[in-house]
Amino acid sequence: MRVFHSLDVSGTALTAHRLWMDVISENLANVNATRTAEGEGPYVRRVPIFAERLDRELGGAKSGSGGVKVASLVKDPLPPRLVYQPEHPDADDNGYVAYPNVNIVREMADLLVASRAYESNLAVVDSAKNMWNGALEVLRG
Amino acid sequence: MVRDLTWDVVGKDLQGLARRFGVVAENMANGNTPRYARKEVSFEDQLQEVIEAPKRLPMVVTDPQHIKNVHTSVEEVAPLSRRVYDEVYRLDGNNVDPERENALLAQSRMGYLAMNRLLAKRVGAYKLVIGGR
Repeated sequence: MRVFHSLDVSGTALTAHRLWMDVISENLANVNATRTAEGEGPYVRRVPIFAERLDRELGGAKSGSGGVKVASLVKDPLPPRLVYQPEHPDADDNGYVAYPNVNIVREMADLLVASRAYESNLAVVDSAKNMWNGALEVLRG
Repeated sequence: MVRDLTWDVVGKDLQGLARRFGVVAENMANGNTPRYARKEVSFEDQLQEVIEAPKRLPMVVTDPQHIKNVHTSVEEVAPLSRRVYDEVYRLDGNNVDPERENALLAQSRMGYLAMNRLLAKRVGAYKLVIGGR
């Protein structure tokens, strides 16, 4: 058991949830983007996939758990949102424009979950600091 | 002297609480990981056994591999962590309950600090004796 194991673990969670919040802001920023740098079609919503991280990856010898990581960023397979706008330059033959499959309400809910998780992991870091400081006080008597 | 039972038991208690704290940190970190099974740490029951060992009749062992009915030395106490695979209550298969983890977090932190306070008192007593004031 390494001394600052819990700090490492909470650190990985802070990174992962910060990334999730970044992804959410990217989704929200592109809520009306009908063109992307990749060319074809509108922006597609990105979703981070969380996976448990093993201790080995953090440099520990044991194979226990060592927090969380974002295994990959995948594109949401939902179809694009079609809006009838014949005057739009990106409209198809029937006059429909394909807008990104981003749902603002859902992104806001996700943002809430991500920031709550971030806060609770921050609370763990705080408690850990508190505890180690207490341990340091022991020899003062 | 310094190697009294309190000293050892408190040391093991601190070790177990720190381990539980680490496991709570792991559970909290994986609060949004699909299919994550939460972990638990137990060590109090073993410590209790060591403390109560003098009251119980130990089986005779002549070899380290023999089965013992009581833990007689504090050194043998090791925190056990296990995964809880049942008790799934969320649709994504994750069973971390943030409220529960927060309560455990506060509990292990407060226990740790209380034990630290106790040790500090001990150290203070030894200092007093050594200093002769």
